[in-house]
Amino acid sequence: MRGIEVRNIAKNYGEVQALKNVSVFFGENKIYGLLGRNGAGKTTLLNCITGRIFPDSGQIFVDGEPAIENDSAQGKIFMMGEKNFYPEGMKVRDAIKWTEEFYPDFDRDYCLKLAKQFGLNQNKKIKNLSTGYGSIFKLILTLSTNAPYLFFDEPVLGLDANHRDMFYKALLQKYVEKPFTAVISTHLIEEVSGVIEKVVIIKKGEIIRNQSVEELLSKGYTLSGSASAIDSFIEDKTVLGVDSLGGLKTAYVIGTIDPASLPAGMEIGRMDLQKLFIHLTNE
Amino acid sequence: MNLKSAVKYQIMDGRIAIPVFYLVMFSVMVLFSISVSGLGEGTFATISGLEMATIIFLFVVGLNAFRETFRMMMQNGISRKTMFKGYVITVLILSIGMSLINAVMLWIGKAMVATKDNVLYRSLFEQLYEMRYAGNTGGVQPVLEELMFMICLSGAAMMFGYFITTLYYRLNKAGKIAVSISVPGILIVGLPIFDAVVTGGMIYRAFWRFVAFAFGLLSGPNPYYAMVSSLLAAALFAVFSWMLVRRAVIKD
Repeated sequence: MRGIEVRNIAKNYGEVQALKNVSVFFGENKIYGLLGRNGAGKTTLLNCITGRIFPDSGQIFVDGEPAIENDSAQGKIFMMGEKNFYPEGMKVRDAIKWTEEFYPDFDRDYCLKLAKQFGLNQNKKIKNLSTGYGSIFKLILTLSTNAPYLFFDEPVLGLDANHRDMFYKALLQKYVEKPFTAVISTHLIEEVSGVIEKVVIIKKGEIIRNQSVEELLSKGYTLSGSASAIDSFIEDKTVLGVDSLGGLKTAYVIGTIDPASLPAGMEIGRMDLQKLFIHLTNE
Repeated sequence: MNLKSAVKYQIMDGRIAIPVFYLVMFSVMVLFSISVSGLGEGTFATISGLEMATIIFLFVVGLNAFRETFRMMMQNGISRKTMFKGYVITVLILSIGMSLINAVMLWIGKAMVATKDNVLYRSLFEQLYEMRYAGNTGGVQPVLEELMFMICLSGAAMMFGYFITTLYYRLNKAGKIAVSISVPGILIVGLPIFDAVVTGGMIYRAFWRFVAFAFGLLSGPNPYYAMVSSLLAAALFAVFSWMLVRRAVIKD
């Protein structure tokens, strides 16, 4: 089966268990959201898959091949991380040249087109790029590699709203033209919820959810209506949170409901991924 | 394909440092030949052992060859095994290439002072092994042997530098401090004092005797001893380096 299979990975840092027997499968040509709170183990998981660190136990396979210390398997993955792994004095254009050297399917024309679109100065040294442009530089390289598995670890760090929008559009356009597997690890759940198909939630080193966004969101619903009607209706229900605006209220409720049983003036809507995430990952 | 790219990257890493190094070396040669051009009779001048600069340079290249390259390779999906193989091939290419350039520079240097009887331009190899070629300095054999000697020595220097840098990369902060203090402390202070006070200079004499043996100075002199010793040292440092590299991880 094509995809990245992680089998029973564990990783400890001294007394801290960063990953506890994690098993997960990232299938072919899907966009995943890897969600978790700070220190949940997202980056550790991605670093294990890309061989940057070694798991203490467990196995990782890429398209059925063992991934650890395997050039052929690792050549199918490109990861943009928060940290910059390029040499101190390297310029953007040199990084483009070398990425093209290591990834034979690299699309230089596309890369230069995106660089122009985002206003990335290729003559600048990577270390002199601002946080936002550092992210843009890595995003452009990642999208241009044409590797079948792309990992984005905090991809929009430091990006303004316009650039974030441009990135999501570029990602989707690329995906439509030539599908690939993307794993997006981020804190900006609301933004990414419109892009991802499947969601993997990691909590304290353990995978607690691995399902499609639709499936996950079907676990609950939102109710909107007058504050008094909402308050009385949700009394006996599991409520994740409530937003109030004037006399109106929106409640985020766990469970299912028959729309026909709703009182008049009350509307039912889709559950909010961020609210659900907060609920699932709270202590 | 990956190996080729890993070699290319590691060789290209020295694309600025190597030309600058040779520019400096060539400038030294030119300055020397200018400064000795006005020497009167009865005054002698010697320039020798410029190749030592190459050995030291390659040792420094080895010292700087790991951290940034490792991060770059990890970023681009290249395994530690391929990166290390790439480094060994880079060592071979640079050792051969720079030894050849040195041979040409030696020839140029000698040509520059050829008309001067009171100026001597000698290589490190000639200094060590001139007795071997007494009366036969013009043949192909000395040139080839000098070339092989320089290649082996350069390779050992690069691997030694790489071993030190990988060792420091793998050590934690306390380990780095311990090695940085204890190794020079023992070699520069502890051992000489112990040798002078307790063993009466035996260690010092044994050490230099070992060096002379390893360089073949006790046997002829014979440069093949030095070649074999250098190759053994390079292989030993390569094995130690690989043991350190194979489990190295990215550090923030």
